Amino acid sequence: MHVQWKILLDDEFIEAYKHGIVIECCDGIKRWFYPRILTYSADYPEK
Amino acid sequence: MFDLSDYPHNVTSSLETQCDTNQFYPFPNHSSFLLGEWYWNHGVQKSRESFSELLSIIGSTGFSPEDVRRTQWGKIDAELAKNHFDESKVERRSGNQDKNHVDDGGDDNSDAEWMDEDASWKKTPITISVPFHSRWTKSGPQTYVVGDLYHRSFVDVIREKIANLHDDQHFHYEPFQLFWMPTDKSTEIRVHGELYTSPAFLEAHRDLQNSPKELGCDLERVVVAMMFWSDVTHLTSFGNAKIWPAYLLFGNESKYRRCKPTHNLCNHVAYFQSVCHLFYFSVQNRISDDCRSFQMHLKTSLPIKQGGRHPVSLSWLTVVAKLCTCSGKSSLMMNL
Repeated sequence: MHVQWKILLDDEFIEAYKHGIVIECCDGIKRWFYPRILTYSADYPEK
Repeated sequence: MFDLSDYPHNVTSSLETQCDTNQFYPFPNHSSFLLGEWYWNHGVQKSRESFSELLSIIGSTGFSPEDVRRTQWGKIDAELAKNHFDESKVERRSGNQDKNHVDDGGDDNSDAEWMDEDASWKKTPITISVPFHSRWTKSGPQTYVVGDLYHRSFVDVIREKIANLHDDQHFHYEPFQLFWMPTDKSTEIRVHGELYTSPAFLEAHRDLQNSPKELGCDLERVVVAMMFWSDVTHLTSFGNAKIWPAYLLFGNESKYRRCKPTHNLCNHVAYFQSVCHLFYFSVQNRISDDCRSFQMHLKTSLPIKQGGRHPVSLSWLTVVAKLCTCSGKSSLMMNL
């Protein structure tokens, strides 16, 4: 499970997490967006 | 054709470039496309309304029964379901010890690229390290490729969300505190309900604003509140078929909108492999190989008579297999 999350949290995402990503919003204004994981609700996939 | 996708603009452009000769690809003609589109996009349960739509299709003057008579529906469905990573499917054995992640997500030689929803899906091999005893034939940690993880890039999902014109008007760029005053004379009562009114979001926002800015850039900085959710999903009423999806929702949007399936605010981002399958598929070959070598060792080193060989060796093999299972499983739990 940890290995799979390691794949999901790839270098691209870590870079975005640390330094943000610039995206042009629908109003035409560019903003920095910083992803933050605020909740994680899950069952552990092993019985 | 627009109805086949949530992203009509992208579909149009990529479709034109991919198939100049047949604009209804993979359907052979307009009549086949109309029927296929009705079958897939007009709900799973048939209704009177849906029946009327079908009648309007086959009753229209442009509909040609001759066109749909020879249409290969199975082939078309397979084409529609195909992902770009299916193109370069590589047979991997569970004993493969290649440590390098082979990410097929970047391939662009696909006929299915026109389905933009699928374009950012990736398939990445899952490699785990399983330690073996020092007196094992191959001692020390061994790396196994134990399956493939199907997943999407989080950054791609975020970009897609921010650029979504329909969702943008309900996307909260800043958190705030919500208070309730029953009467004019009442004291303010803090209301907790949405993530974008929560202390956690406010703190993340405050920390971000107080952090040093990127050099030479004064653009507004916004927290994208990611909410992950994952649980096993049984696919059938009878049987054990199941998948383990991971979903991504955004706390910048109201829970009252997120909970409505018709708003499509829940993003599939991964399909986890379950531990049991990982273990059995990956270590099974290794166990059998080592058991065979151990059996050979027993045959050659122990002075066992012909009649008594099998009971001894098989019981030892059982012990070895159990030991290997235990060590493998505990190490999996630690290393996964």
